[in-house]
Amino acid sequence: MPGANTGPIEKVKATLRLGEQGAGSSAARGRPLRTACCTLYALDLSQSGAPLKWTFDPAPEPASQGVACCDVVNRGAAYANGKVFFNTLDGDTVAVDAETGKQVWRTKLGDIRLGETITMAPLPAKDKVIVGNSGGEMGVRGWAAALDQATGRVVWKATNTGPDKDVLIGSEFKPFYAQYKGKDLGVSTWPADMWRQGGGSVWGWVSYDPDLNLVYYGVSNPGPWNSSLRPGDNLWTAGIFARDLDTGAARWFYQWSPHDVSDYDGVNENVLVDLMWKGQPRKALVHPDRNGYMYVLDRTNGEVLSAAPYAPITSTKGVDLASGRLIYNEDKRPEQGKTITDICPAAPGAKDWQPSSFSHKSGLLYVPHNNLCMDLTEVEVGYIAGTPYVGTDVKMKAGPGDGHRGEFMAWDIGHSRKIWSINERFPVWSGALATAGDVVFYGTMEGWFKAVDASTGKLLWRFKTSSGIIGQPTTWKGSDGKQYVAILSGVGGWSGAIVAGDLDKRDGTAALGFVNAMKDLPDVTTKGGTLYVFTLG
Amino acid sequence: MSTHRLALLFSLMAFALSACDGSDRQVKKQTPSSETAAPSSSDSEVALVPLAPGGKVPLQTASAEGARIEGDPEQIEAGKQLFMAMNCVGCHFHGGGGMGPPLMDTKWIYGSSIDNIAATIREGRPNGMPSFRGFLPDEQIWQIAAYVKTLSAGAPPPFATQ
Ligand code: HEC
Repeated sequence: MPGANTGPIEKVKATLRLGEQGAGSSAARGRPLRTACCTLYALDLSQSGAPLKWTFDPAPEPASQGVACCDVVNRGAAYANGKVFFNTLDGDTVAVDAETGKQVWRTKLGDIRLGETITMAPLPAKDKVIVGNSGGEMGVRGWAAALDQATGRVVWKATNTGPDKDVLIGSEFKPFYAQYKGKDLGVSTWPADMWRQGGGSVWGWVSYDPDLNLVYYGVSNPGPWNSSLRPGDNLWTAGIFARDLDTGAARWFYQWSPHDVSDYDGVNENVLVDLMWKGQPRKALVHPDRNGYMYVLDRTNGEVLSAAPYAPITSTKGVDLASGRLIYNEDKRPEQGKTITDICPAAPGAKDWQPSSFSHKSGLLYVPHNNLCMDLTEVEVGYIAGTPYVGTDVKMKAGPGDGHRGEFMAWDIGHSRKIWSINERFPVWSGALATAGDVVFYGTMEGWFKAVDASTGKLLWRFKTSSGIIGQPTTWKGSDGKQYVAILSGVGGWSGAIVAGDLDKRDGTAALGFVNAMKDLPDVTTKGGTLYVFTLG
Repeated sequence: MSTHRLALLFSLMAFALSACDGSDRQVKKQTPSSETAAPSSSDSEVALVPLAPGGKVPLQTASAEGARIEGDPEQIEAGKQLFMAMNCVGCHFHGGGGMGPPLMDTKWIYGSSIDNIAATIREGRPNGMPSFRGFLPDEQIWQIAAYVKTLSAGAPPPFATQ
């Protein structure tokens, strides 16, 4: 990463109005490419004003918008070997020629009639690209797949529920803890046949370790949310898989939230870092989970080295490092027909999809996250393909404090502690970006794009964009030798659905209960969709 | 999920609705083509706009069926149970919206009359509203439509099981 210094950020270099929505971004040879819900734009950064070079509209089926659980989003495109890869809401992976904007291949993977969409950003690794489905709220059966970058052919596809042969669990599977050993646990840890619509989708981030040739990804919540209907550990949901890139064979698994009761999807980013742990060099994997614990795992075998709380937690009491099991707080366990109050974190977790950023320079992890709790009532629900399979009434609210619902913190991985933290009025739903110049960037749902000091958190600069920010900052060095930073402004996502979908705040249960915590968002921002590019001076 | 559970759910619904069976059959007899010919909304003709060529208002006919069910507390209660059981609640919640638009506000994309709402449920709508034609009998579609109409009447949202 080029070295930004802590000097002022010069000026807006380019803006582009992209229509509503959008969260993702990716840089390809100095040219950032973005997916705004469905359209991919290429800007030519070598020319002043960054004119559009091409656009690619994959024209997904409009009906797919109805089965996207938490607003219509796309978490980004990825560049590799001359192609840009991205996913469509109606379940396709597409490869586009980065120079011409022409489609190279398109592979159908998900079926919206079963409630499947694809919202994640693909991860190119060697000659493959890894993708997975969304739809944990629709009773889908979750999976991840590897496609051949050149042709789009599916090389392997592994489900996250069901028999071992579908999950690609075989002789190479060597989990660290005893509870993952046994035959067809993806069937036997569920009531009869419920694994068929048990969720466990792969809508978050995939990481790849080229030395170990392993891919890592988190698995979403089990379905339905109503946990009384599905006694058992509900494997392999709300956990993490390590798989061989070439064959998909599972190597190890760890379950963050066995028998999840709170919609704690396990899909948050897995940051691969090599560090000294208690005096020993370790190949680690750091994961801020929705359940509120910051996990440090040995990424060679799935052993939990540490699980420290980084946000207020009432739903559980800790993680037993000997067994690897999460210890639930029985007082907060949901029950059908009874309202359980003040469950913290709320369903979107202490942190949702918004990716954190690790600085090799400071050694700290910069984490955008939430401060939310919830009241939850489990209600009866039946599975009807293509409709939601949830069965809870949820009302979220601010967690402990002065009503702030978001936080941006610097975390010391080695000592499992917060170094500094900034309270924000709304959940910090944008990604973080740490630069080698000791500046960290993030955006707020009011629309501020902020730069803070990496070691103290002191605000260095801010710019008010035209809408709330839920995108990810990107930086690159231009052909003119200058460093740039870009952000897409345009509120939405689950937290911003109240604005993006014009939802009615009189019903706190709207948008799976998030509306209850976001009633004041429409007072401070409106829909948007504008790309801002800044030069660092 | 257990097919068993769904069967239970459906039998509960059938129980709740058994009182309407007679009229259901009667309606079907009156409009024998309702199963096959579109629209199956018996005698209603709906428009989605207040405009018609020639400076006129569009021709519309409210259906007798809609008029019979609208405002009837028993039918509305049956519709409310169906709104939960058919997972409408998962997309529209208790009127505030989510995957689908709010139903408790005064903005209607596809019309606010009970005939419009029944048509929405029966035919589906392009941006992700599923079509319940063939999945639900027409009688139940009318009952849900009658319930949906009450959501925008300014009343606080009713909660299913608390
Ligand atoms: C899978 C999600 C989903 C389910 C299930 C669903 N809806 Fe919808 N509904 C939508 C979406 C999305 C729209 C908006 C469609 C459009 O704009 O084209 C919509 C639109 C509507 C509208 C029109 C609103 C207007 O402003 O005109 C009504 C009425 C409605 N739905 C009622 C229902 C009822 C009643 C049920 C259950 C029988 C139901 N919906 C089930 C997603 C859903």
